This record gives sequence, C-alpha cells and structure tokens, in this order.
Amino acid sequence: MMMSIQREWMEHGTRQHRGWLRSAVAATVAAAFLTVTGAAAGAPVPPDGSIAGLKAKFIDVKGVKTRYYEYGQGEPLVLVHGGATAGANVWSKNILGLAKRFHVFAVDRLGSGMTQGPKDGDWGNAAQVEHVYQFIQAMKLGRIHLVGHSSGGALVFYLAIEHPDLIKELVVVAHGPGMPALGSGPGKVQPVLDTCPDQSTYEGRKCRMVALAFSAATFDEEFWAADQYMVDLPTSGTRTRVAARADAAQTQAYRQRMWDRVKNDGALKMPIMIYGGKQDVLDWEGKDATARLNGELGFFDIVGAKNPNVKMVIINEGGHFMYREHPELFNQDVIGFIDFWAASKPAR
Amino acid sequence: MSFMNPRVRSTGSVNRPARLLCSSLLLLAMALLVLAALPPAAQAAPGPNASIGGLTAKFVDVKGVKTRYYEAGQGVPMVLIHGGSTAGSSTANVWSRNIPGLAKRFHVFAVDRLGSGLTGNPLNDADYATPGQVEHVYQFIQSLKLGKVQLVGHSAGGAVAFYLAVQHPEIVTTLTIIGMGPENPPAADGPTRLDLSSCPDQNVYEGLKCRVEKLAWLKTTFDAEYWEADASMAMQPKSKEARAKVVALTNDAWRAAATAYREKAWDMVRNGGVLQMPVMIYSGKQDVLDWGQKDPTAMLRGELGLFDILGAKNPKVKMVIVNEAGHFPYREYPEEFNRDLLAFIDHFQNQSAPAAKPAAKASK
Repeated sequence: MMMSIQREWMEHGTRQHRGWLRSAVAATVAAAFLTVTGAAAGAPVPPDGSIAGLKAKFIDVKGVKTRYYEYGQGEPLVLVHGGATAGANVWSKNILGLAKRFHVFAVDRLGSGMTQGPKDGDWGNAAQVEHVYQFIQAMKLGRIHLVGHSSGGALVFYLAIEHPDLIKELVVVAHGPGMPALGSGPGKVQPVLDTCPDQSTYEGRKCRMVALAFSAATFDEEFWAADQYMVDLPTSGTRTRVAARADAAQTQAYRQRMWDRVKNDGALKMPIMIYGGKQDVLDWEGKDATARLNGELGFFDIVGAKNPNVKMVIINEGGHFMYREHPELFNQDVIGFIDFWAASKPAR
Repeated sequence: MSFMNPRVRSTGSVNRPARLLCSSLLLLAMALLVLAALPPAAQAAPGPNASIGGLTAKFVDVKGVKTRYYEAGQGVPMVLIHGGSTAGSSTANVWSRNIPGLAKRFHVFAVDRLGSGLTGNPLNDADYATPGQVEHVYQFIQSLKLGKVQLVGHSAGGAVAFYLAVQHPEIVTTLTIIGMGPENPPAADGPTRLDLSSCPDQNVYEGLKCRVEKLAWLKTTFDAEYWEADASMAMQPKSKEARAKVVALTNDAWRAAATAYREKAWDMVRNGGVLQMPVMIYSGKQDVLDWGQKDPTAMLRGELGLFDILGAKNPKVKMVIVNEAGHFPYREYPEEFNRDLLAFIDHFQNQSAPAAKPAAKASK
C-alpha cells in the first residue's frame, strides 16, 4: 500500500511539472496521500502489541503469561531484549531476516512488553534468567543460539554461565556499560538524560531510548504507539517494576559472582560474539571526543580470559540499537558468525 | 571445502598452558587435525623464488622494477599488501595461509612491496618513502590491468592501501586494513607493549625475526619454511642496501615530509570525505602494537582512532577484533579471517546504493 501511494505521488510529480499551480495541486495531493500513509502508524495497536506486520504469541511459562514472536524454522535462535518497555518489539527489523536461516524466538522478558511481572515480586537477575530459561524449556527448544541486547546481553551472559550445555553460540550486543574498564566520570549521554522527564514516567523512558539511538529513524511512530499501549495495559509489569526496582546490591553481587566464574573458572566455553555500535553513548565517556568502547572491551577481557573463541564487531553510525539501525548488516554478521562455528564443529 | 579448522586451539595453547588440561583423546584428535590441516609443504623447504605454502611466485616489470607476486584464482581482483618497513622481514609470503582460501572466490594478487622480498629497490631514493610505495602498488595494478580491486593491507601495508584508496578511490572497491594502519593515533600516551630489549640488533636477521615473533600471539603464527624463505630474501645484498638507505635517508626533513603526507590524507578523509568505499578494520585483541605498557589489556586506542578518522564521513565502516590474536590475525586464524573478509565484501556489494544505511545522521 505504501509503495503504491508513493508511486502515485511520483507520477503526479512528473505529470504536473509544467505549471507551478498544478505542481502545487500535486503537492497538496501528495501531502494528502502522505497523511493517509502516516495515519497507518496511528492505526490502533493490535491487542497483542505487535508491530511491523508481525504477530505475537503467548505461552504460560511457570504461571507467567509470556508474549513472544516466533518465525522461521530449523535451529532455534532466541533473542532477548534489553531494558525496554517495548519488549521483543525492538527486534522487529531483524526477526524476518534472521528467520530465513533460523527458527527465531523473540521473547518479552519478565515484566516487559506484555509478559506478566513476577508473581513473587522478585525482579532480580536470577529471576529474569530463570524466566528465559523456563521459556526455552516450555518451548522445548533444546540447544539454542542465543542473542541478547544491553541488559538482555547481561541476561544471556548469565544464562550461558548457568546453563552452558544449552547454548551453542552466544551473541552479546551493546553490553559493556558498568563493566570495570569504563571510566569513572559521567558518560556522554548524561547531559541529555538530565533534560529528560523523570524515568518513572513513560515520556522519561522514551526520552532515554531516543537519546541512546543513533538517529531519529531508529524508532518510528508505530513502535512508540505499541510501546505506549503495552505500558498502559492494566496488567503491565512495567509499572510494578518501576515501583519495586531490583535490589542494586544484590544485582551487583550476582554479577560479580558470574564474572568470577568466567574469569577464574573458565565457565564460558562456547563461541561468543560481542557486537557494538561505534557511537553508543552508553559506552562513551563525557571527556572523550569519540566513543572508546572501554566497557565493551572490558567485557571482551572478561569473557576472553579463558575462552579463545571470542570476537567483537563494531559498526559505524550505530548507537545503542545498532541492530535496528543496520538490520541487514547485523543479521548477516550473526548468521555468518553462527555458520562459521557450525561449519567448524566437526573438527572440534 | 577446506579441512583447515580455523581455530584448532591446540596450536595456540603454547601461550595458555591451562588449555593443555583437555583430555588426551581430544588432544590426539586435535593433533591429527593439525596434521591434516597443514599443507604438505609446511614441513618442506621453500620453492623457487622463496615461494612457500605450495605457492609459486611470479614476476612482472613495474615501471622498470622487477616485482615479485603471487597470483591465484579468478574473477574479481583482490590485492594483498604486506606490512613491515622496507626490506624488513615482511613480504607477500605473510599471506601464504590466506591466498588459497581467498582464491576460491577472488583473483588474488599478493605483491612484494618496493624494496621488499624479491621486488627490486626503488630506482630513485625518494621512492623509499611512502608515496613511492603507494605509487609502486598503483603501477603494479595498472601493469596487470586489474581495473577495480578489493584492497587489503596489513600494518604498514595497511597504510599503503589507505593512501592508495585516498589517491585513487576510483580503483578501490573495498578497503580492509589489518592491524595498525597509517601511523594511527597512538595506542597510549607512553610506549607500547612491543618490547625488543631481548632481541638482537635489527640489522641482523635474528633481530628482524625476533621483532616479528614479538608481534605474533601464537608460536605457530610462523613456521620453519616461512623463516627460511624470509631469511633468504631479507639477507640479499639488495635488501641490506635498502635497509641501509632507509637509515641514511631518515632525518628530520624526511620525517616531516612523512607527517605532512599523512596529515594531508587524514584531512582529505575527515573533512573532504574522499574515502567512501566500504572499509573494514581487522585487529587482534592482543596486538602489542596497540597495547599501552601501562594498560593491563589492549584497549586498541590506535585502531579505534583510525576508525574515527575513516568513519568521520563514511558510514560503511566496521571493525572486527578477534581474541587470542596478535599483529597477524589473518595468519593466526586464516579461515576465520577469510570468511570475515568475504562476508564484509559480499554484504556491501549486495547493498543497493540508496538503501544501504539510514538516511538521517544523528544530530548529536
């Protein structure tokens, strides 16, 4: 539909070039068409909160109603989103491309998107990890390729440590901030965040995501509409979570325990790809003219200390959501990385 | 399908004794794989013209300079440019583990740079400097009528590739720079982790070899056949003469000219946007040249700085960093490098020009 409207607009444009009046008429018509097109973004959000023509599904995971996308067939690949209320919707530009090669599952984490919050009020890392683990069990996926972004990157990292036999390859996207190598000063993004509304409000969280994206095109109106819709649901876990907040000390202790297991015991043996956007403001210190990616390089050192099969890819003009900004490049890199190790498996 | 396992880690475990703890069965299996993976020539003496890896070098006259090169495969031309300073211990032989794999897809040319390997010395002393090196590779491409090429350079050869792409963008389809390139922004404020204090003097072959070994991460990065061929080339009278020439020519004016040449190219890229072809920067995480002495691990500041220069006006830049790899990641993990290179080229060539990247550049 979009295509035909655009084509019509262009035809108008070429036919009407003789007089300014007729051109103006054409422009008005075009504007009208564009408004109609734009209205599609303002269309009611489907009940399942899905976007980009995808259709979400639901499954009960140990009593927690869990929303997910499922596309493709063959080897299962699980996508775990970061700290976004929009949940699995952040993968909307990647799911179909990855589904050409994999059986793709993009799941809403505990209390994100349209997945319910924890019954016992436990929002900690361990509970988040357990929920994704139980999702994989409930779907009977067996061994999987696992991809996680940002705090979801931390989550898949922990999941791989807790259940190494389950993971074939691990892809950790834009996870590094908070890692030891990152400097002590305020990050590049802080001044922008300081201008955002309070993070307990939807506008505040949206403001933060916009600040982390490389360009205004990273998220579109349809994305925000579905996000707002899911946050506004009476059952939304987001509200409860904001009120609850995970215990920071507990979170840090858990993380430290995991790092020690990897650094000292070599708990992580599967191939790992670390993926970063060169302009990720979360990994960009305020005092540096450009991002030095110290956090992600520090993460590289942790996972690479006892595991030779680690690589890192950094792409230009990519922010914290570079997989949305360069979906084809990201998909190709993920597929290439997994294919490489799949091909060398017999030799290992 | 090649049987060389890209990451047979037994070859790397010399640096990591902990890994020797794997079961003896696994070790045996890996050892067998290594034997199966290495080309038969690996144990053999070099062939004619210092050829190694079962390859056979050729010669072409490039504007009066006899130039040695390897040629393999067919189709789209790809040119590989080795690193090292003039007549030091680096030649097209460094690509011996990559040429056969890349030749399955490309028409591969790996050339000995001006004054290096069995390529003759410059006819004019001025051409010992970088512009002469760049011009020689350019004329090599012209002599062989290659047209547009996929260009790959390592270390100082990465610099040659970079300058060639700046000056002749019309013949460079994609650019890949491995390791440090055009005298990057420094790795650190102080000196790097390259420590030559235990090496013999750089004017004897053992000194040159020692330096290259310090730059490698694995003990298996280079083998006996490589060193034998390398020594035979590096100790020819013409190579000694070239090294002596470079020492004699290097003075303040020479250095100032090199700096001006580099700054001009950087300015053209940063402000003029002259480098618009897809670029890949490829690094070993443990490259001592990009590892400041006071840093516990390599922070790769030099290569990230190069990224900033190349990416300032060009969205099509990516960087790949591989673990347990030093200054020669393409020799240490040839299958993985070859695959990454092919994937990089394929991705950007399959992109239709308008849809390759989001139109909007962030305002921040």
